[in-house]
Amino acid sequence: MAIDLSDDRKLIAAAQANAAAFGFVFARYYGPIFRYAVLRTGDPADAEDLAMDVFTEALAALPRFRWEDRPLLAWLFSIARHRSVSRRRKASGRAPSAALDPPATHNGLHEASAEARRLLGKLDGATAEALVLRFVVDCSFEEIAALQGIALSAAKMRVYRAVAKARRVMGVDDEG
Amino acid sequence: MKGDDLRAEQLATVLDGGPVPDDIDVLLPAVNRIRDVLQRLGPHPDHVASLLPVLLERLLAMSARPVVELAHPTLYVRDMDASLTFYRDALGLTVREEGPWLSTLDAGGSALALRWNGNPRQAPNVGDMCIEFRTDELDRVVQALRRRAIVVDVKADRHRGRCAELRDPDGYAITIFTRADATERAATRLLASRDATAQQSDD
Repeated sequence: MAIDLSDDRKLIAAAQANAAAFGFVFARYYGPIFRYAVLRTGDPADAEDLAMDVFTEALAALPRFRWEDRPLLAWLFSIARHRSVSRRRKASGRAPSAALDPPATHNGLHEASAEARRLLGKLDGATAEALVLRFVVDCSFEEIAALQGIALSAAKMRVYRAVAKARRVMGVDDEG
Repeated sequence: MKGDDLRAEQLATVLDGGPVPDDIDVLLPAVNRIRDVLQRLGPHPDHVASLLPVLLERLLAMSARPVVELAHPTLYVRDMDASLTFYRDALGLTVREEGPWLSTLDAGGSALALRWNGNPRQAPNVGDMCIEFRTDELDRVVQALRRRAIVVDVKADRHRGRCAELRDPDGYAITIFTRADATERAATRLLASRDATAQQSDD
């Protein structure tokens, strides 16, 4: 998946004309947002809840949304960052809860999530976003830098640090 | 360039499809593991589709706010008779219910309630509030009020045109303003009455 501003613009116009068309936005971008949420929360159930929060807020804000030539994913990520921070604040001091059904329906999700947690730990929002943009959405480093509002070298460094951390966890003997 | 910066640059080149330098290939297994894990995290399309109704339910729950509507504002008054005389006789509102403790009046499209405060010597706290009425016939209303020796201040309001300011027996601030379209309404009434007269004379 690559970011296509023209597609985004059509999708948002369709959804603003008829909220049912928001289903296409959801189908297209749920994956990246969910993966980002897993990297942030480290737990598939929490991640699903967070991702649903993001799309619920986006859908509620749709009538007020104004197109500004920025990818929809940038808007969704900004909601996700804000949501994940406020959820973390709320969650501190209380036991985690699974608000939705455990997403055990898709095979291997718990295992993949556990491996992501082991490899990367709970990442900060910017790094998690950079990884998803690079490895899932296939953004170039220029696009990541533009989306995150940072220098190109900083975008490269974010990904590099995550990779270096994963390598440390894997250990030199574990290569290959 | 520092070592980390150099490796970040090299890794970025590799990730963009460039050649793999000797000192960077040790990072590639980690890159592949991350890529693999992120791919495996991807929710199945069927699962995404099954979440759509959940999204809509959440949205409905968010928008299902409790709805209330204004029944009527209630003024606490120290003398029910004096207040009824003012609102009914001087302002011309219609009494809907009348009682020593509670009276309600029709005030055009809304209602106004008067509740006795239980102590004729205790003035109610009239606070920073104002009850606003509107009329097509401000001059007649002002004349009727002045005939009852009620002090009325007529002034020009920048937003509402001419308006009359006065106080009720307890000191509540009252403003009566002219409808914005009073002239148009008066002209329409005049035309309707002329047409009705013409119709009668034709018959």
